[in-house]
Amino acid sequence: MGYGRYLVIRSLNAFITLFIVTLLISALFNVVIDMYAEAWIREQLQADLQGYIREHPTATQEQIQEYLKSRERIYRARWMLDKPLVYRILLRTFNAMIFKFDPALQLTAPDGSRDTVKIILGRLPNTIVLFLTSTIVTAIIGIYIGLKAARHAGSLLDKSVATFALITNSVPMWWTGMLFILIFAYYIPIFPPGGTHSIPPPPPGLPSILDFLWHLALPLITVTFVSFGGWAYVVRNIVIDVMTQDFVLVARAKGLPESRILYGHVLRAAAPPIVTIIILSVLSSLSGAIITETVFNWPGMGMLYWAAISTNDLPVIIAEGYVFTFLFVIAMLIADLIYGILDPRVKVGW
Amino acid sequence: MDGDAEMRWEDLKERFLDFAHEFRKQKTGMIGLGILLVLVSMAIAAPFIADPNAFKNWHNLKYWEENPRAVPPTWVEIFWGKKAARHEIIYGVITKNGTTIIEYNITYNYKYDLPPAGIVIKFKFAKLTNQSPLLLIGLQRPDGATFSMDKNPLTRIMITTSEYVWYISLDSKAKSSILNFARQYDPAATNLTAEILSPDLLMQILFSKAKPGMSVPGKGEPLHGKYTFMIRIYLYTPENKMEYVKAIFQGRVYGLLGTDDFGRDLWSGIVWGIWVALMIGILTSVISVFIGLTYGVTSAYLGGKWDELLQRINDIVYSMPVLPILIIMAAAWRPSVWNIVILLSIFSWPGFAKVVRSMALQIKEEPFVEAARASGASGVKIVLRHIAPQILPYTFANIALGVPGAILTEAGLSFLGLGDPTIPTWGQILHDAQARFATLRNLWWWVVIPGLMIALVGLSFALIGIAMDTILNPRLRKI
Repeated sequence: MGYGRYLVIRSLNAFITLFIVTLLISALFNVVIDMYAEAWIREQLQADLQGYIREHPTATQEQIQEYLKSRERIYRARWMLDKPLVYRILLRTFNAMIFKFDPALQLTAPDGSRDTVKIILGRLPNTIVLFLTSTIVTAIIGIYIGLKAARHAGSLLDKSVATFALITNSVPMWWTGMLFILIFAYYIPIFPPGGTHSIPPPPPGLPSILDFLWHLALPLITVTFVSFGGWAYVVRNIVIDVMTQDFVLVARAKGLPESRILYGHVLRAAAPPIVTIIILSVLSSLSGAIITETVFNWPGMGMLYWAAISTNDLPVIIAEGYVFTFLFVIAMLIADLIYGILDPRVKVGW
Repeated sequence: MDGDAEMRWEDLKERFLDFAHEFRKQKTGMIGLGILLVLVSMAIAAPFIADPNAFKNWHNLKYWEENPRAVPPTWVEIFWGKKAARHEIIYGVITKNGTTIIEYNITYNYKYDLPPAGIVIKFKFAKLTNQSPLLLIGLQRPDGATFSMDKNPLTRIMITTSEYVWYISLDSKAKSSILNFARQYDPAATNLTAEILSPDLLMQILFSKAKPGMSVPGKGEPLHGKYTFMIRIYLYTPENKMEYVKAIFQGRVYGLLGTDDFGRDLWSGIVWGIWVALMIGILTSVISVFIGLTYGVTSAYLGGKWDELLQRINDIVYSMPVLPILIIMAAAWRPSVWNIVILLSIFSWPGFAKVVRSMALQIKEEPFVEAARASGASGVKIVLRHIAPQILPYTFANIALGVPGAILTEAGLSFLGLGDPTIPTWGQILHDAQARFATLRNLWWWVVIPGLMIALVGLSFALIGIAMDTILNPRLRKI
């Protein structure tokens, strides 16, 4: 099977997932917004009734009813309640897929507007910087230690890696962040407790960049500390699995140096599953990372969640949910595609 | 046919005994089991070792109003090297009982190095008319210094509610009186005003020897002995009737794990939280593993087009981001703990379903299944009697392995402020800690313990699950 067809099928797969999740989110949103709208309309009609009676003290019961009905029609049209339920859900799904969202109820973008997309775009870079750097650092440390552990299977290092992975796997990443703030910002004040820059901000240029990196350090250390053990353990298991295969035995018999076998033969064969599993683990640590932002007062998407939840700003929560789903599905697709490139034996389960 | 099936379940029993025997040899598994047993016994003993009413009153802040706010556990005294005031509740003793005047004495024996965190006095009336009584509070210290009710009372207040609560640190008149007293002995007190006097310093002055340094934070020698609060209430009319007067000398330390900003006893919250964590973790894992088992076996058994369709659906659910979807649902409905369990289960089965399917596909090809099919056994019978029993042991390992994830996800939701608002959970305790900046205020007891508990529960199940997996997957034993 050609790679082209594989690519098309996987992309289609991702699109279907995206569509279904968006449909689900939109349906949920619709239920909530309908409840909100009904309550809002009841309130408005009550106010209209009072106003009408004040202005037309002689109005008959029929006239009042007539007036209220006309007002209600206007309000229902405004909330699209005059359209069928399926239409509303599909329209909201479509709007979400072209990144068109309802305006925020409370939160504002840096320029003061209530445009949900702007609010999220203002936060996205911070999340990407934190998440990308921590993923790279974690990958380097994790793969290095994993290979070392595999090479000396059964050694003290190997056993410590397994234990460490087990413990960090049970610990909430965001709680580790709180703990690190207590230790490294309170008891031994070497890092700032949160934010992206000092107050007042240092002059632009190098001091500003250094200040940013200094603020990035503790959240970065937190994410890396909690994730790298799990990576190392996964890498170790896959590598050990590959090392028992015949071609490695042959390489050894040929008398190749151990490091060349490890980095040349074994790592190449182990790459596809490592990449897949690692992308999956990045995605599963994403939820921990978005909560961790809150702890460090790091103004990214995660902290936006905290703000949106505490002000009950539903449009922002919905939009964020969609953006996360979008990123998640794209990452899954990339994992699939990389797997397809690395492992020529790809089979499509379709 | 029936005899054969019975044999299979007999096998299962035997296999279970074998398994139990093997499990005892797994050191990590036994450690996990040990931790779990301790946690379970703590949960069962919760009504006796913790406040039995804490569970249903966790979010009822009035229930906790008498407790000191944000004070550390009692055992930190060991590190301080000083004795800190314990939490004490003393009822007023009637010394004079007239029809329109009633007097109480409250005698507090101060024998610590660090004073109480605060003094709160509750006045409860059996009946209060709209003719408001007048309250006078005086104080006599062990050194004889007196705030007499007639000449210079600590405070003088009109009472308009039938349950009046007096906080000494919120009463600017009492603070001024105490400062005036300190100024006679300590020049440092002249720089202080009632507005900037912190509750801690107020307590220090009140319970220190009258000499220079008594109003310097951290200085001041404790003055031990009996402090008598004298209380007089002018009822004005016999129709106003008192029920009791109760003074709370708030502990500088509290309980086994201290308190949070709302005075809640964290030990009680932690112990009751075990129930919630175990229930959410186990229930979610059992439900999702059961769904995964049924789904995987069905998919493998049906085969062909149906198998493909079911695998497509599996892939889609598998690639859904759980947390954002849960956040939307939780934000919309503020779900109960049961709904959280259901929501978590809905998203956590696909991984196990895949494993089950591939195992079932292998078993399906084995001769004894073919023989059963050839002898005319129905599909349901084959699945229930031949395929499912083979997979069941792995199910238990997966239940254990699924618990930590469920607990972590629930804790994350609670931390974001989306937990069940009627029960105490560790995630919610940490949410409150974060919302009140506990880390920046060094309230470590509020931060450290709940997270450790989450980690401990997760770890115990992970250890058990891995031990079970090692026994059931012989291939893993080598590595």
